[in-house]
Amino acid sequence: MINYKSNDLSLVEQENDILKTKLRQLQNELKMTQLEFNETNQKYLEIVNQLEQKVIKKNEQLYHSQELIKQKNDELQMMLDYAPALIFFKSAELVYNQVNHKFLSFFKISPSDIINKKNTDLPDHLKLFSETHDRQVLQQKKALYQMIECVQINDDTYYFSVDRVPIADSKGNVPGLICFAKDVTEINAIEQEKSLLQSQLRQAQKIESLGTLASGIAHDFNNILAAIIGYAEMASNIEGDDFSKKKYMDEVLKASLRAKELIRQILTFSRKTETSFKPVDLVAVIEEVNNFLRPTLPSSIDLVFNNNSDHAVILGDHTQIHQVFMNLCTNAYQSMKSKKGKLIIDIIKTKIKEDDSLTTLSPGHYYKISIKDNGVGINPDNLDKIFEPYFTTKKSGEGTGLGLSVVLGIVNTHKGTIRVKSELDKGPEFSVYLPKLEFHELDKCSVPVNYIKGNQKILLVDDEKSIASLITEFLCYLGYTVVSTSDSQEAWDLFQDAPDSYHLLMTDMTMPKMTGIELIEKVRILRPEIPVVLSSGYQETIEEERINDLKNLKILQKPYELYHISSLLNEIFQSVLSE
Amino acid sequence: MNQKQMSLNELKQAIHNSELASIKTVLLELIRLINDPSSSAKQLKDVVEIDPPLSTRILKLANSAYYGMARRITDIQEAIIWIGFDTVKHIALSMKALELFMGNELDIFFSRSNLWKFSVASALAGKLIYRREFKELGNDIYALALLHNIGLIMLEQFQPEIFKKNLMNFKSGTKNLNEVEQNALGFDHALLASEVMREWDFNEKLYLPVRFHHQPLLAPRHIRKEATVLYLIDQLCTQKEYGFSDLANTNQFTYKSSLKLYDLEELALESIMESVHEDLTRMEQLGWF
Repeated sequence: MINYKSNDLSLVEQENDILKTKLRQLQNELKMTQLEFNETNQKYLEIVNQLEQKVIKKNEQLYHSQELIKQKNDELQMMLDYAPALIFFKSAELVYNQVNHKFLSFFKISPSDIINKKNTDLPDHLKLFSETHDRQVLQQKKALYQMIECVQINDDTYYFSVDRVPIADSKGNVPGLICFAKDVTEINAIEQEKSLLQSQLRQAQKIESLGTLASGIAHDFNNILAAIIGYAEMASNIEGDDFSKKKYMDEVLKASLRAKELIRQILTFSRKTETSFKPVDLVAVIEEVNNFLRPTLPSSIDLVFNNNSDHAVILGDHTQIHQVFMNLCTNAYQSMKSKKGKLIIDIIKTKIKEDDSLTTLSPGHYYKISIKDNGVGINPDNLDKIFEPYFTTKKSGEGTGLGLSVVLGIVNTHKGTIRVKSELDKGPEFSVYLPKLEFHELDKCSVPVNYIKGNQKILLVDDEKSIASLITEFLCYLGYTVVSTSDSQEAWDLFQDAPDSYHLLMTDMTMPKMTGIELIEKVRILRPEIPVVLSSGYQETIEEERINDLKNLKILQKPYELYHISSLLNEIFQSVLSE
Repeated sequence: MNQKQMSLNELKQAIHNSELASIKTVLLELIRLINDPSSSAKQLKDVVEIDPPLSTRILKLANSAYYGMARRITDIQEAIIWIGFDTVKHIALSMKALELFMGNELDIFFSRSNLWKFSVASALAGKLIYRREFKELGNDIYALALLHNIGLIMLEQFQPEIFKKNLMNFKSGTKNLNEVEQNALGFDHALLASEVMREWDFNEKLYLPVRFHHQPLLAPRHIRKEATVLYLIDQLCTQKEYGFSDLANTNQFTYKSSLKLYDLEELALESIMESVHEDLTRMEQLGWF
């Protein structure tokens, strides 16, 4: 068969075989390449995946960095906002770029009121800080510290200490400045107050040293006077008819007595030991002073006491307080040289606040007693000196010059103060401030006690109004129901109206109309077992036989501390309960 | 003048103590990578990067006209992607194997570089037979082909005079070199190479085909295919006169049986050798030889 094939045909077949083989091989190669491609592709995807992971990680790092920057930024902003100064950034064109929170709140404005504006764009009341200083800082590229600038807001003037610092970039240009403005208004005020206090302290020291000196002299002088007076009395009592000699001796005695009074005043002024303070009703004191003075005043002088409250209780020394108002009123009428005049006394309650910079008084409630006259008034030049000892405008012999300094000394020991308002020819006004007695202050005048409270109904009678009102207030404070009166007859009437409603009678011993004992005896007819507290003054002698007959009676000896009442009442009511 | 003939064990010991042994770690690592389908481009990159001449070679290839890259590739990992994972593995392996073929030029007839050229041609041919005829990646065959004649280098290095004498006998006669060696030494270079590879912890799939590549029909069944392909490519590369061949005659029975065993046609092998020729030409242009 093969032999019959032509050579050409054989060649074609051979070529065909070669092509077939090559095709098959190429197909296989393609398959393998495809396989490899797939594998490589897989690996490529892995790499892409790895890269993606890297990108994600980098992104996370970037995000973290951004968060950190944001946090730092917030911290910085917080530092700016809460720094104790007004902080603001200005550009080289003096445009406000940024201000801190304190700046906005101080001027009560919003950011849009100030940001991107310069002073010329701003309303007058917001042209705040000096641009002259800004320019100086920008030109000299040097910080400017503690420039005191004044800012007017409405009617208030504020003082600022302003620090300006140029902001420099890396090329040494100054594209703006940062300013720190610190409000020093209060510091200014404090400085002023401080100097005022210092002058007051100097005054007090001066007075104190004079007092020490005076008391030393006064003591010796008193002994000398005692001798003079004694001998003068004896001389004037010697039997005889030398009338003129007796007349001279009487003059010596009169002068000596005046000197003695003067010495008493000096000693009062310089006494350092604290008198034991008791509740004192200023209204009662001033009425006493009125009653005392009125008869001595010429009828042309009108004395008016504007009493706005029934009681004004302070903690103090009755005699000293009495002396204060006697002195002030005497001064007042003596200055009214014209025949006609008016002396007005006012008493009002007032409150001294924490930030009251005008006074050295500690904050709290006070009674302000003003004594006004239409006398000659005080020369303003003398106003500083009137409280100095021995200062007087009176003719020599008419006054000692100790009055007002003694008054000031007393008022100061009572933790009060005196203010004087005066215009020449218009009459001065003396205002005495004395601290109101607060209940929590009771602790101060006795050992601290836990008051024992109660809720019973008590009938209280004491002819001294101030004491009645003080005790009433105290008992109410403890929780008791109190019916009080200063009249023993009225007390008896009140008791008869509802004898069973009272749990206890509290009465003073010595009273007009009906004594405490008499009242108790009447009450006991209706309520034989009612507990009674009988308070007695220290001079009084208790009629022991009569009291011994009375059961359920406790004596409260004056002077007593308020806490005694609370424990005594508690004791009584406890024993009643146990019976 | 008379060189003392060493026994197989003496030779193995000498090789073990020589610098030839020093490349075994890298070779093994590369072969492991090549055979591990899960090995990544990153692992390959790690192996390549610690070897600067190898990195240079791979980047040079990646940037050659053959791949026609528009931009310059400077990253090994990128090069691996573009050249192909397997190609890079083969290049890396070749570069490491080449170190075994470096040395003094002993003879006009035999030189290590001649043997290297033969080995590279064998590797290319083996790979293409696996891919185009068996549709397999043929990773092992590439390494096998590169290394199947290293026994000659060992003999040349450690028994140069005896090796030269054997060469003379081979050149003047019609016997293949391994037959000459068998007669003179009692073993041949294929056995020596195989034994050393075994000692070097090479896989059985590598050292056994080397041992049987002159007698593929006697090879154990599980490596017979590799041994047969090694045998065939030796024949083909000898015909094409690529470098040094240790063959002087072809046993037609073995040859025909080998072809038949794996359903290979001469025509197909001829076509593959054309491709090998093209590849070799390009490699020569890149300065491989």
